[in-house]
Amino acid sequence: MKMIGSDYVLEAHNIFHTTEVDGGGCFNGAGNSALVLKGVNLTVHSGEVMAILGSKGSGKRALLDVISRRADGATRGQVLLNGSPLSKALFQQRCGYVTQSCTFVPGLTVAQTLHYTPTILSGYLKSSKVRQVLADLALSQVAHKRVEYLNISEARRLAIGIQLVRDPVMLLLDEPTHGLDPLSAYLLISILSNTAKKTGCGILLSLEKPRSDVFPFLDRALFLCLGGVVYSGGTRAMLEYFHGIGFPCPQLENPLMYYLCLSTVDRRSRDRFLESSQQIEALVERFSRETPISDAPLNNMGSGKVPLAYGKPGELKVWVMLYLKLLASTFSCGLVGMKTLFLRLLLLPLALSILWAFYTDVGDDSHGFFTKNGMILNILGLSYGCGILTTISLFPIWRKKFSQDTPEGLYSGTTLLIAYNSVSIPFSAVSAVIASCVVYPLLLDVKYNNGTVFAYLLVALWSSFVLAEQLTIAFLLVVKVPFNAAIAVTYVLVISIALASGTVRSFKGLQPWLQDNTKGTHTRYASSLLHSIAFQSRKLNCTPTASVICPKPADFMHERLGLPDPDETIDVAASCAFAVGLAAFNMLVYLFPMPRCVRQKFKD
Amino acid sequence: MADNAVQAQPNGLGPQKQKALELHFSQVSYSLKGATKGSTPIINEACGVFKSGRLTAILGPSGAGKSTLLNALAGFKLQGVTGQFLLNGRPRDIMSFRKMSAYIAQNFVMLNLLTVEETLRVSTDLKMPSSTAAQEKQKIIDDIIDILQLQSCRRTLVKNLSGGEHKRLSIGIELVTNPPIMFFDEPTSGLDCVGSYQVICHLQRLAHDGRIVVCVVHQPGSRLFQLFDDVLVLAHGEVLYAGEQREMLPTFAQSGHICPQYYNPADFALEVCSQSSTTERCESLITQNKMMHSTASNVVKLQVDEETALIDVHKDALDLSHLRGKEQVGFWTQLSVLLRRHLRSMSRDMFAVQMRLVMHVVVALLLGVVYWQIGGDAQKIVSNVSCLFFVILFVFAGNAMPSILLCMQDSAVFIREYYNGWYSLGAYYLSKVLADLPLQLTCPTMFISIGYFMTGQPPEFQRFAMCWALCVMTAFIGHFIGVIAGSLFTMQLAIFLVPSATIPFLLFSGFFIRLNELSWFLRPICDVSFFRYIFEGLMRAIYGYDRGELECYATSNFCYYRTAEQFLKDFQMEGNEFDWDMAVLGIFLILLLLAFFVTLNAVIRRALR
Repeated sequence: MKMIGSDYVLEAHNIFHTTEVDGGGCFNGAGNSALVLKGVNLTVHSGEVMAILGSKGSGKRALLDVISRRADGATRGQVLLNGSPLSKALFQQRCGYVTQSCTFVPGLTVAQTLHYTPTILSGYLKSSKVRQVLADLALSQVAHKRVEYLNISEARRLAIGIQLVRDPVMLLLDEPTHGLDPLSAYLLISILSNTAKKTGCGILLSLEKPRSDVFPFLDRALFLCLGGVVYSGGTRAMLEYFHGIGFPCPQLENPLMYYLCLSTVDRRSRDRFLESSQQIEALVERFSRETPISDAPLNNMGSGKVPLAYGKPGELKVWVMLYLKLLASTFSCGLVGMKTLFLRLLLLPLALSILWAFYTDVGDDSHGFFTKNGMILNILGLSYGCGILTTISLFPIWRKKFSQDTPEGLYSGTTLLIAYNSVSIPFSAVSAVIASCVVYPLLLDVKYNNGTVFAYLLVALWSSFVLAEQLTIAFLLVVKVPFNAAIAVTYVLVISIALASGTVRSFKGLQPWLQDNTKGTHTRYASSLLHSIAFQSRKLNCTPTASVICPKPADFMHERLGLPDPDETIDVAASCAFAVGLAAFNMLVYLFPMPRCVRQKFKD
Repeated sequence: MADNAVQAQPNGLGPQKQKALELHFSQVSYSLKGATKGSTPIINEACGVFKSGRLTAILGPSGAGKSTLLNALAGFKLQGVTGQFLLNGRPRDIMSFRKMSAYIAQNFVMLNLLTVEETLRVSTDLKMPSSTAAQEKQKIIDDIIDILQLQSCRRTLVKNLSGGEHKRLSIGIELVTNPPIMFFDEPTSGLDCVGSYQVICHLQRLAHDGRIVVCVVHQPGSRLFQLFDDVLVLAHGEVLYAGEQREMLPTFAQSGHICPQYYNPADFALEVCSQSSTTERCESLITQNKMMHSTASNVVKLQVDEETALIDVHKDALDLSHLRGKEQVGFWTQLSVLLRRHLRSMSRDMFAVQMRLVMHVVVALLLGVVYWQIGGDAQKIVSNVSCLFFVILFVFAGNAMPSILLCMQDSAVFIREYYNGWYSLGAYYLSKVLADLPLQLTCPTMFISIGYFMTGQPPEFQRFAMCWALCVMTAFIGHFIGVIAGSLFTMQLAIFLVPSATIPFLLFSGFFIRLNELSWFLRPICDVSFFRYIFEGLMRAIYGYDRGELECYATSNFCYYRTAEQFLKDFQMEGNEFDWDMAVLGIFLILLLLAFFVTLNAVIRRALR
């Protein structure tokens, strides 16, 4: 067998791992501890495929997390790569981990998804690598297919391809055949086996219900039950071992499933549970007493040194990849691209154009003053609502990818938000300009055009949109369901509008402590800008007569806002400061590591 | 002459005392409606036999038509199905066959907030005849719990059951009437090998007690596979093998398919299925199976009275309502059982019920703090209007959105139970309306009682009663909009549609823009916006009916709106027409009640498609 590159060996010695059992959510204190792994040993060489088998709760995922250095909780034992301790940074540089969830950026094709994965390679070498990975994974036929149209088998292979394009020496997979039909599962395992032998990559995967036809492709097997190892070693030696201890495999039986059932506790009743637990404990004890069989290959090149010729791509390169991915997703042809462009450019103008159906006949009498009051409320509400709707439609996919890419150490939250805002803020500015053109004639007579007033309107709309967007991004950091985040942001902004805008509740009539607190909200300044445009900048068209009293704008604004003559400069500065400040706050918050309860939510 | 006796009443869950049953089927085919003649049918001339006392497995890869065949055999799929079905040599009557058989789907939905015993009790109360004694029902429940080994979780809520326990409870619900024929669609999906083994052991016991038990299994392990007595292997709509499990591998070997060493026979059968059906060896398997069962069918035919004609079950015009079983108990018994179940479920629902009460109180207190004693001040009359509008917004949204969640689980259970003839549509409809009544009255009552007085509205009983009536009406309208949307659409779509559809009507409520300032072509929409009548009613309740002059606390002793009548005039809401507003809202409520009934009919019709 011809090896490509160096020979590697991944070893785990006497792994004990304790994890905290969640007490019920983020607000519970320290939960109970549970010993999840009890003395696990394993060895994987280059080009080998090892399967971790066990039923639910046996510790399969915990073992993969410990090897990849993602597990929380106390860990004892050693994980070595060519004799060197495998640290988190070393794993991120040289190994790959494929989780069960397949999340891709909508609008990109299969080839684009692989191409925009950050790697050391670039240019022609990158394109060659992408083409090779597509061919190895049988994805060349769907290279130009959009990721949202892939079936589950193709999606799994693409998720593996994203790791293979980075050329890992060890690849970990968490139940890659979960949910696949038998033919697709067979195809996937055979592809993985061929890839391992071709590239020299060692593969470690967990299975829950292995079928008979995948048995020939597995070089090694490890059976786990309640954290204990029933067997760990080669699949050929497995039959001999179990035959030797009194559990021969029948002829018409799948050895993997047969010994998996042997390693599963029987929960039908308490007596059966105790009996099967004791039997499995005896098996674990028996295996631990066996003399370890030499797992070394004949040619042992590893001598404690891991070549560090390869490394992680730089932060700037990752940022460029993220930015290009965002642009490709936005401008992709197809439904996703159209949806993205519509949300970014046309949603706000279209929403505000609805106001034309209601506010074309606003007069300048007392009725007109209250009607314009309602119009300002609608403008604020619609601007906030469009910001929320746009963000919960476009950002969650990136948030999900961020939570999946964080364990790989590819980029930080600040890099993601800089890339996202670099695409989002120019679009929102253009959208606000169009929306301002839509709303301007409603607030003012077009006969008296005023650039300064138009700029005020633009700032009010844009800062409202961006503030809602950034507030939604902040909530999406901890809220998994976008709809729930939208509800939470809506509650916050509804309270802000109710107390600070002066349209629902007169500001002058508020309690003094509420008046002081609402000065710290964006809504107050945006609403003040809109009031200035609607009442002060507009020439009144009202002739006082015996039966008609013309209200004074200063009196009305004093009643509504508490100020007869607000300062537009302060309002503009405060509105922009709130929006930009919240964006900066998000970059800071996304930089911190998440508490465990939040990470658990995004793990699925 | 074979006796085709149908058991009138079950006499316990012991072994069957009636004659053994045999279900022969031959030439069974199924095609999609409207498919062209050249297309491949989903099921093509399937044939086989199911016998009492034997557990039969249907194997095949995904897309082979296993569930379709099971549905056709169980009688759930009639349109597009052709072929012969003989029960003890006689053509089966679909109505009596449906009555004596049970079908347990893969995703058998049960109400999460009932205990195991309560779930079985509802099943016995609704599925057994009214003449059954209470002691006999209790004995049947105890027998089912004992047979399926559910003693340890007798008082556990359904949502806390493990996967295996959940499966066994779904079997128990259908065991109440002791059906001699049972069909299971993938009873082991989602379970590990021990849980799967446990469930199949119970099925084997049910079969060996003298029943026909047929189940579709996905990827059985070898130990699981050996529990089956008979096997039917399906590939691309063709039956490759139907017969004893022990004879499957020798039959395959005769056609050239040799099972390797250390191979699961079920896995091997799937591999044989995955080959192209045009392979010569597969063709010989199909032909051989057809000949064998055709011969068996001929043998059975000789026992039939020669003058009896065989009837093909090929009725495209069959009325779908005949698929539904007959109800076993009267209307009022159905109503009382369903009402008791609804009320018990709601009392345990933490989120949808208890949190609603808390939320109503909290928001009422918040309303009181923000609008503290604002109602009596003439200077703050505009803010008081905002307060009234907020009341409408909260009472409506606070009752519409939780109602969607309440509907989610109920819909699936309702479809299954109605389809099996547990109760009539009228009984379910009435029990649902009545069970929700206490909550619909309590929440707005608590809300308006706190908010009305904290915000300083006039302390007159008549005005308070008017506001209370409007809040209750708003809650009812919101609730029924929520349950209608929750029944018709998925949860995400319903949660999106309810605000999207109702928020535009808020624009026509008269709060944001005066009705006379609206464009002329939009004014008719105001007449159909229920928010308008609610808002008008609240305004008239507070400021109409000779409210008189308001107190003016301004320092300059000038208030723009001093008299309530002038204020109502500016809002175009003058005139004491509260009765008219209430009457229109009553019409809205009646229309929503009718729409809810029509919605339930639509849900049923969609599920039967």
